[in-house]
Amino acid sequence: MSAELLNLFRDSLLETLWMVGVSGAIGTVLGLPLGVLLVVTERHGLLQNPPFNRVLGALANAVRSTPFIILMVAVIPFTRWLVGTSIGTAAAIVPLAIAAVPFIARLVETALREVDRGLIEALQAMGATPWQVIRTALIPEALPGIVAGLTITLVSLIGYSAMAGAVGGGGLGDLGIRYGYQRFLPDVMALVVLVLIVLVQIVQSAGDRLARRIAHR
Amino acid sequence: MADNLLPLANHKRIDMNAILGTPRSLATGPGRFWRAYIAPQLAAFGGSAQPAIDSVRPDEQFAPSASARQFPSLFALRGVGKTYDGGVRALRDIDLDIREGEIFGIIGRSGAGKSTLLRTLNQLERPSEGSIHFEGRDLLSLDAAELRTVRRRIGMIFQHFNLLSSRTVAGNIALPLELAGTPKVQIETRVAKLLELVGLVEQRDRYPAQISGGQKQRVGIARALATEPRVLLSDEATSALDPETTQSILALLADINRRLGLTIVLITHQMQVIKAVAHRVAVLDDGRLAEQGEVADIFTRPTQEITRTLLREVIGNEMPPGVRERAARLLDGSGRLWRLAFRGQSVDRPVLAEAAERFTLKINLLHGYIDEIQGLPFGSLVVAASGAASALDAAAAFIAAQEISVEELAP
Repeated sequence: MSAELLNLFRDSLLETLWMVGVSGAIGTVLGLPLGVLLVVTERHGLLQNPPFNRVLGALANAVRSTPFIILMVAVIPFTRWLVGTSIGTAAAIVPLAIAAVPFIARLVETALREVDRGLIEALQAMGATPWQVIRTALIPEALPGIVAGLTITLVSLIGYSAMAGAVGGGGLGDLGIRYGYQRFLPDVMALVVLVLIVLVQIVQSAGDRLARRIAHR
Repeated sequence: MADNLLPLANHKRIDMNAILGTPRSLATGPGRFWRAYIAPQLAAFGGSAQPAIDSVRPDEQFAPSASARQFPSLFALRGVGKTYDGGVRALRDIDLDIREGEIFGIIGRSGAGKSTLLRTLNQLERPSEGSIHFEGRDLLSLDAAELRTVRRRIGMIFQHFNLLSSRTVAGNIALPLELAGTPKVQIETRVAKLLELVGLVEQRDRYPAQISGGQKQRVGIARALATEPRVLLSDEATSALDPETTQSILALLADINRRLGLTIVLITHQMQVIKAVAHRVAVLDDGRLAEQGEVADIFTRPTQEITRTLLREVIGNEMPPGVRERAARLLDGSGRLWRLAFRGQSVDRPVLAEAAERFTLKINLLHGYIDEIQGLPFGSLVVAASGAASALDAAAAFIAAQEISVEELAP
């Protein structure tokens, strides 16, 4: 494989990491509070507000039920307004982040639900405010689950980012399509697949290790 | 705040309370609580007589307010009822007074409403009707912020401990203090003292998953005591523990009650727990208060069937079936079968020997036990007595005169 191609490989890998990293970070920043809200606003929750909870849940489901390839195209006007273009890595980050938010929110919600109700009761008995319960009990206790959820999200985002490549988003997916598929370079295609596999393995095992380390069960 | 005490300095007010207080409050009231517990802590914090953790508890706690004198009990429940959304009535018309410094037990079968009743005391459960006063204040009229302040004066421990698995032993104990905004230095001093109190100094940096059930409950107790509460609510705190650990936890609770004068309200389905530590007990049955009173009274003279049923597990007042057969054989048609119930000093008198001698009876002991609650001995004996009919009548009257109840059983 030529040095030029290797350079291209390196750039594509960095683009993928960048897209996944930034969209994952945005997704976490917005998805985590959303997941908390989904739990605390439900009936008998800490800050129960069933109507709000239903609206929030419906929104999350709406985004999650839209196939990513459709979502990517559907949000193009928004993407263009936000980053000025609908092509390239920066443009790909917008739909990736939009997809990641409800995904993370639901995973966070599931992790928070695993927290024993007795703990929340104990905190309330100590005179904790709802916010204190969330901050000192709910999130720390659910953290291993949240980390596991974020790991799943990153793995999914790696897959989604390859899809973004298909419509000009850059990254390893783009490389695979343009060189591996359209220029008939099967070794490039094979390498793209291999790198993606290794990348997912690394993310998954790092996530598992982190989750284990913070879980004192 | 009582007006007549206002001009005095804070610590003077406490002395005044001890002087003005009733003999009861002298023995177990805030004065003693202060001297035994708060004052040494404060000395450790820097020698101030002012409550160091001011934000944790308003100082009116140390001097009962005028309204508190109208409600001498720490908790006063009147007509408390709870009906859940589905229409299930968990509690009906509960009247209860829990006094300062006592260990008050609430016993009942599962589903009797014990847990709901306990949770009304710190408003984790809001009653549907009735009123609950704590230190003379109506708990139902408090807003959310006031309730949080009051809750810091009501510690709680749980059957499943409810410790944060993400925090160490020390971190768990520090939690309520962190929530109350106590300065870090004070938290450290206080946690160190609490670790010592519950005997977990060496486990301070372990996580809950790395310690035993009994140790977890000790962490729970230390955590509940962190904000120096006035009362400790115990929700089946020993039910998940083995008998030996149960004993050590109960001993710790009794010790805390004695040394700190801390009021404890505990619920349990085990009569042994009541027998071991409680001073007074309320028996709950199907959401109603079946009976309540001093533990010794309830144990020796239960008036309700539910109480007798619950007592069966601790005292064998059930006659084994073989006893009647043996009685029939021994008495052979003449004589009588008596059940004698003793309590207090009557246990110590050689009444049976005296009766046998005086009325020339033959007395056979068939079944019985003698036990002790709160230092008060009590017991029940089933005896077969044979002799002349008139002598038997006279003997029964003689025994009854010694404060022993005589019940004649069919042989």
